[in-house]
Amino acid sequence: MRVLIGAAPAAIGVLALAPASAFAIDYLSAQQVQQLMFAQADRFDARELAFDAAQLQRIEAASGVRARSARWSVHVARKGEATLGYVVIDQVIGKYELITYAVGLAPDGSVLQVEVMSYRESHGHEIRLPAWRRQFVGKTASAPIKVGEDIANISGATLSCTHVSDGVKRIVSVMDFARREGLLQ
Amino acid sequence: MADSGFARRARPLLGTLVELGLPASQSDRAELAWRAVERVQRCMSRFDADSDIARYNAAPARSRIDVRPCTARVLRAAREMERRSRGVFDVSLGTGAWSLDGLVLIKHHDGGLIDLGGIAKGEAVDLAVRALRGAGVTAGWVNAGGDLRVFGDIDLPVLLRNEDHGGATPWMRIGDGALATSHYAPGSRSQLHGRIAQAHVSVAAPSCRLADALTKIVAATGDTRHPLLKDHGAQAWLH
Repeated sequence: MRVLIGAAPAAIGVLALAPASAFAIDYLSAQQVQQLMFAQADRFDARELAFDAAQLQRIEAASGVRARSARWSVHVARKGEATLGYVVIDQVIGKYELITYAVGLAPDGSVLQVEVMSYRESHGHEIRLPAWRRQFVGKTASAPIKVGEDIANISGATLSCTHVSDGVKRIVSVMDFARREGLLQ
Repeated sequence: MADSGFARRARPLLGTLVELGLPASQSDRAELAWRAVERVQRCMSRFDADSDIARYNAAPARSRIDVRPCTARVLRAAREMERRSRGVFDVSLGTGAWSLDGLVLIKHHDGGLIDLGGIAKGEAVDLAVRALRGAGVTAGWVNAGGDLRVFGDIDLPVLLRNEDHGGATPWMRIGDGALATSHYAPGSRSQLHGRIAQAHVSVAAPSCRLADALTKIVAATGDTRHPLLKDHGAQAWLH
């Protein structure tokens, strides 16, 4: 075991005074996550789902989960004429973190895989500001936001992933509705 | 990432974000680590109704519950830590006695509950690392929401999250070992029964299961020089 302390542990004041910086990790780009989830696919067709108010109400009534957004972007994994499954990308916001993740679904709508695509931790309350969130839109693993050393890990209170789990449930119900309505054809 | 030569992946598992890093050229082996973590979740999560622990928690007194070998191993480790800490470490949180007879978990009292929480998370990290090493992965790490283990020829920088305002501050580097951090504050997930009102408790130890268990002992006693730390080759910090 090798332990090298940067800031002396006794100097609690040092830790408190040192500026906390934002922290960001890119795991996978949209393209990488599609290929990881459906390695056999020969193409991915983009489908934009747009729900009206009545459809959103029906999704909510059927699942008990708020659909939150009226627009969803789905990538359909195909091999020849066969549909291998779907990839849906979404973002959720926690206390200080913004997590982008992808859900891979089988043709029957069951969840095959969930992968986190990026993790952003803010300092301060800018996470609630649309401008802070917008700066990350379109960032991919090939253009990482470098903050300090790029293999750094974060430690602290255990991060709850409830908001990701809720997000996965929401995607399952939205996709279930879309499939039943024939919107994924 | 391409810059560092390491590929990183993260999935929501064990109620938190589990991250792993491994050489980009060996990234196809990540699936082995995920399987190890998922197995621990299936066996020991309180929230998975079919897990050994959920079945124990739902059972009446005098039930004998068949448990899987991985659950039995963690329960034995918990009992050992309970004995050596003279009851400070207690996965039943005082709700009622349990005993283990081989692969049979016996419940002595109605209302008895077990929460393997942190040490199961530590075990999941250790098993994931073992799976990666067994597959020939030369260096990397697994981090289950603050339960971190690093292996191979790499010193991993660790940042400490600011729980009040977000963001992170450089803190230390660790190589070939484990680091567990818990945060204790009113309303946080980990609750203290001892003397510390609000603090991060971190323990570095050879294994992650051990590191996580020892954070509980340091948190409950407030003693960063507790004899059990030295016995296990561990170090602790309150910060």
